Amino acid sequence: MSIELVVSERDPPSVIMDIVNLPDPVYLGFTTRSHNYDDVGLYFRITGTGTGYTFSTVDLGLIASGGSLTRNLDNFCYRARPASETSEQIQLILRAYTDSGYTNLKWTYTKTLDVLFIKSDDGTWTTDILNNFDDGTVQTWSWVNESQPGQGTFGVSTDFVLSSPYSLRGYWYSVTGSEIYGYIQKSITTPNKPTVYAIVDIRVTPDSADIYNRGLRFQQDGTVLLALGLWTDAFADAYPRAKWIRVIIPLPGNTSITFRIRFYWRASTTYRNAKAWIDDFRVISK
Amino acid sequence: MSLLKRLLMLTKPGGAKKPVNQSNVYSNTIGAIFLVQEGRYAKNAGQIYLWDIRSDATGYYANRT
Repeated sequence: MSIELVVSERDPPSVIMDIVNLPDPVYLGFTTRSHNYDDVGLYFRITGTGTGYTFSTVDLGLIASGGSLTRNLDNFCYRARPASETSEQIQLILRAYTDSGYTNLKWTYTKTLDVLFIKSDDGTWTTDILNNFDDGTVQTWSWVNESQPGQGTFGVSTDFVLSSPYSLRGYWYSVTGSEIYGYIQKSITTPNKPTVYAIVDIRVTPDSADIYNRGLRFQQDGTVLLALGLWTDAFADAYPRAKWIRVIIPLPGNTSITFRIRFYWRASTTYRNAKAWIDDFRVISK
Repeated sequence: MSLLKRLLMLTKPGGAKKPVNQSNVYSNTIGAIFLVQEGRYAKNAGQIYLWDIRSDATGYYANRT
């Protein structure tokens, strides 16, 4: 094996998504990491295949020998929204070429992913927590600015919502540094069930084009369960801005945890503000 | 479990071994073993790669709107 693709592999099925209130078709995005174990630099291209799916083909460019590349693939594939719970497989196909024209293929690496679409309102699931913030409170969520403690605001908001009238908005800024770190979190005792999922609908965006979405982490206490983007310094978005996305995170049952959503932004300007919204946060189980 | 003990376990002849208390082990079709819940994975016998999940974490999402 001289190339490799790393995707989310926490606990098969690899991809879990709730279809309730998703648009049709369903678009999936991935943050993947590609490794080049060959002795020479190679040009990488990624695509995929799956029954009923349409995949993009993305040229990742040159990866040096021994190097790796993390890349977010927004709108990487889509399929018609299933009508009910559906379990299936897709294949992500990573190819490495010796030339920048992507004609001389040297390696192919295929990763099969189990995909599970659930339908959280089909009567088989219990909604253990629903935080829609529509009572005008933060519903036990809290907020921290790690880069500059106390700089920013936190509370319900009406500017971007999924269910009216309120969402929850965190607002972070830094007056001295060009890197902004922060998180929101909530203490949860999960139900004593075999399957527990947190469903997070989230929108993250900096306040200007000179500030960039870098890393987004979903954590159980200090442990990263799922991550989008890159926790490294660069002047480019590493996951989509100004877009509501849905992430589902499996949680352990019958456990008291702090569920944390952590952010990292990088600014190339002295104006360093960024916001994140969540709405209709749920914990479901069965 | 200490990192040293984990390394010793992973370098035993016969390939990577499942650490104690590791429930989320995932094998792909060519033998790589991912130990992602603890933030690290090891590869084939004779080759050891350890990654901190904070630098190697990945994920997925769906468009909500």
